[in-house]
Amino acid sequence: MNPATNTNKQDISVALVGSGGAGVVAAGELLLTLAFESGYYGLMRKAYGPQIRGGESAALLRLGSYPIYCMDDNFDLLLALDWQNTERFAAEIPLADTSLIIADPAAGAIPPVIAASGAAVESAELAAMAGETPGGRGNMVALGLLSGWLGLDATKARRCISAAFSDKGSEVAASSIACFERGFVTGIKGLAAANITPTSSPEPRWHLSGNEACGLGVLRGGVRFAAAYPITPASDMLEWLAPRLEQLGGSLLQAEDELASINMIIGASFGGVPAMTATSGPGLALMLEGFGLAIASETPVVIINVMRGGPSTGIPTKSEQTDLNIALYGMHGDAPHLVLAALDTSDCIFTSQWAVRLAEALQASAIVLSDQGLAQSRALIPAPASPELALAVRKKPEITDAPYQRYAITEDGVSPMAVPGDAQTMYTADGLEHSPSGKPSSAFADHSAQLDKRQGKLQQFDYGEHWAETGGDGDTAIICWGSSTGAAREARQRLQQAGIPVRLIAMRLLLPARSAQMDEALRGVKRVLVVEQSHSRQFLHYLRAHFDIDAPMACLAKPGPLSISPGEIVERISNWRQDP
Amino acid sequence: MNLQQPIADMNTFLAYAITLEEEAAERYDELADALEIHNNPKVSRAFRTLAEFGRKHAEEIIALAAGLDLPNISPWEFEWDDPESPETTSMDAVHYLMNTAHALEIALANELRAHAFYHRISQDTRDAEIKRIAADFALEEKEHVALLKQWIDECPDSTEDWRFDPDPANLPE
Amino acid sequence: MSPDKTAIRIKPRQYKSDIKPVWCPGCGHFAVLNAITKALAHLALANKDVALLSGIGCSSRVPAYTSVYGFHGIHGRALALASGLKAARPELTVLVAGGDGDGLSIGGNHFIHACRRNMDMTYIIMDNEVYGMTKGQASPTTAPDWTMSKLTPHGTGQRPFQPAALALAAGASFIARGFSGDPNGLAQMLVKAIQHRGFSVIQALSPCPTYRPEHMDWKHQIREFTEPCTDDPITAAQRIQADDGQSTGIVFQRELPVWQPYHQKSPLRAPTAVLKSFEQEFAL
Repeated sequence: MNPATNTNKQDISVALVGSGGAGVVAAGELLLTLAFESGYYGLMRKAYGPQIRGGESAALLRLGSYPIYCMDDNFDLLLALDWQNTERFAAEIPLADTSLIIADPAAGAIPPVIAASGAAVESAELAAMAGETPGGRGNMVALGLLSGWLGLDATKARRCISAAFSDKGSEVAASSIACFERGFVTGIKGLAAANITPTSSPEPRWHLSGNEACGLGVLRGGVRFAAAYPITPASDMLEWLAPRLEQLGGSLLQAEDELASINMIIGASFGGVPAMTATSGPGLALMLEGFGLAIASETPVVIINVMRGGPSTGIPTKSEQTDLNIALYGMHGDAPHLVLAALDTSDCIFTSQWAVRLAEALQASAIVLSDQGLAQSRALIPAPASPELALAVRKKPEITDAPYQRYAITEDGVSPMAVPGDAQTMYTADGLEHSPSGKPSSAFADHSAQLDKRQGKLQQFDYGEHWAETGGDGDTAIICWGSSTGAAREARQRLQQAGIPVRLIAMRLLLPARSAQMDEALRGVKRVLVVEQSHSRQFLHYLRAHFDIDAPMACLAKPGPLSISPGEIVERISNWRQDP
Repeated sequence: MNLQQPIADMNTFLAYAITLEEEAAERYDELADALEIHNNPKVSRAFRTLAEFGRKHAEEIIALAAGLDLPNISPWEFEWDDPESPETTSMDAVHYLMNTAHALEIALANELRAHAFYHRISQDTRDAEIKRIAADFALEEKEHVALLKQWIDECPDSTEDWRFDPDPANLPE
Repeated sequence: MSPDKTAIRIKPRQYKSDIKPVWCPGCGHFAVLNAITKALAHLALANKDVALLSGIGCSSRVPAYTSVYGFHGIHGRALALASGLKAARPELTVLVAGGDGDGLSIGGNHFIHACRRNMDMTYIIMDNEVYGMTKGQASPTTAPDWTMSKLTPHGTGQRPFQPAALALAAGASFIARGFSGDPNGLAQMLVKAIQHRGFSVIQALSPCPTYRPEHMDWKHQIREFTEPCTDDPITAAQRIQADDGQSTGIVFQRELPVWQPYHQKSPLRAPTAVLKSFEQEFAL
């Protein structure tokens, strides 16, 4: 048996492509909602061209009977409303000779790069079928075809469509439903029934994006102020947060730039209000001077950095894990801080919440790394638990006769922090190095004592088991971080089923590096595969710099926008080879 | 300016006098601090001594005003001839390399202005009690003037190039 | 005169810390510090309810010299720092201080946006037309033909900003120019600025004895605006443009919309209940 194959598969992967108002994204979102209502799990990514309106786009879905954390190696079905510039992201829609392409003959020839996959081709006269209804649209016919194939409930579908178009008037909804029904009853020749079934006893599930999940996480963590400057792909997290912060008595301030947003959240946090911002690589670069101020002044802040392809403007709508270096090492001076990474959509909630609580408890500054793939994918996930994190809130000063020392040296490195409004504890927070009282000082003794304190409070803290998701056994280990975890988990599962036990270490806490826990997790391991979505192997270099890993390491690294597939990981482990 | 109008009663007069002495003392302290930070201990000590004199004088007037309801006058409502009260050293009158003689010259100018202020009130006022006390204060300032002149005479002459600093300026930030 | 026989007189020194300023003896900034403490004493504000924030530069050292809550931040970002604090804690009295380089060069974008946002805070630009902490380079308010800096041996060749004109164009609702040589007048101006609801800007001319000793003559040149404050931006613009930058006084004051966090009309629900409702949005 080829372990790379997704055996016992109870999931399907569908790509819907089209351009210029064809409505593939709307159809994809409706399909995901329908799947949600019908008891499935799933994941939907989007791919766009650079146009604001009218560009080529694709809705990429994977639906199944079990939680889904990554895209499959290949798509089972590619349904095209048209072929305008689809070849631009053909590489992001891998097809195999077992795949099926459904195309409208009216849309012209299939682009050679797509036809070359060897996939079977069937035609569906989407435009003609839509034309039977005044105002009809091909995307709704496509939605009907797919829903019929998947055996989704037509009654629920009608309700979802009506709800989706409720603000467009009853005629739009009616014509959409008519087109849906036309597709639903037509069926697709040459397509076997989809081998997926709804979960037999549906557990509570949620339907959300990674950006929304990060938003919920920071609110759970206690954030009540945000300041930010719009940037793709972080903006929709901020849009989600703006009205909700208000409902919690907080606020979001749209800043003039990222230099302002980081300083605004430092100001709010100085005022005692837990605060965050969200950005992406170029914005993070602008924020780092301010981040240094937060670290030096020990004012807790959280930056959620949603990575996109760089450098510079790079590929802003595509995912990549390449802000790792700047998050780890972008600081001027010795600047101990927290770097965390969300492992999947659900984990966006946990990691963001944990980051806020750690920042508050340790008066530390945290960068949480998400990426476009996580952030803008919509996922149908098991409803996450609401963990009670046993973490203290900010340590407050006790009023004594002794003068208040904002930066007092303490055993755990955390000094009591007063906030404006507290009587008798007035102090000046400072980005200049300072004595325990906060007075500016360039003396060696003060600098080294404060450096020790700022590093010590992060190093000494017990982060428990959350530093990584670990599991499995055997003498081969996969080490990955952030959003590569989904593919790594699935690869481990496939290898397990093929009788090849593999350990997985998916890192959530990157700084401070937990070397003792890593040693423990790697005990007895004879080889390590490092998995990351970067060209320059940033994660591999990080591992070499921070951990003593004796076992030989190989690295599966590739830049965005192509995500790492489970099959590639399986292949690298099955046919083990050292890096050249 | 005729001070008869703004200083029409004893309480107001005492409020003026206390402010004059307190502000002078506080300024001497600020200058002493500034010179101390700039490693000019001699001049710092001179200003500190002058601050102590000023504070003592202020305390005497405060004692004189015991039990009286003095008006609470905002800093900008005082009708001084200069931007600040007469005995207060202008913040720009000092230099980090200044010597004791410079400090004493500054103090002398302050005392002369203070004397002139009290003297004018003693002339302008129609209130006999204010006239008496203002004249007393003017006399005291006159004594300070004499004392300062004596100290200045005892000081070595400062050289022409007292501002010369062979080192370049620093770049603190 | 405001004789208040019942009030306990608060002394300006109650707003000073025991840290001694590093400013050069003779620096105008000492007088600005005194004006700040006098204004706070006059307003009898509790130290704990006042925050003074700054950026980097000689003038930005000022928070540590006061005994209110302070934040000595990074170069050019004081207004952003202060805007975040004011948004999170609207009940605080927020003051911001810094120099001409900090506020108008590296922080120029924050300055114009703070003006247009018109949050209720007071910004004091301690303007000495030079960078003091880095050895006397030209700032955005330096005259184009000032050749004393090695960095610009032929002068900047660039016309200086007129801070008051910039503030007016950007939407500030209180614009004044004061002078360190008149600390009591500056203190009164500060009182009015703090009392003003909205973003108040005071350009405090404050000569540098080390790098711009020629400015010690400002005390002989500076005079008050001959006309009183206006609430008409056109009149204010004409007055500012016609002036040589050496007239002092409040030139413009007007009630304009103030940015503040949106306040819920209905009473806030318990955070756990609100969070639950957000989670429900994701569930079926």
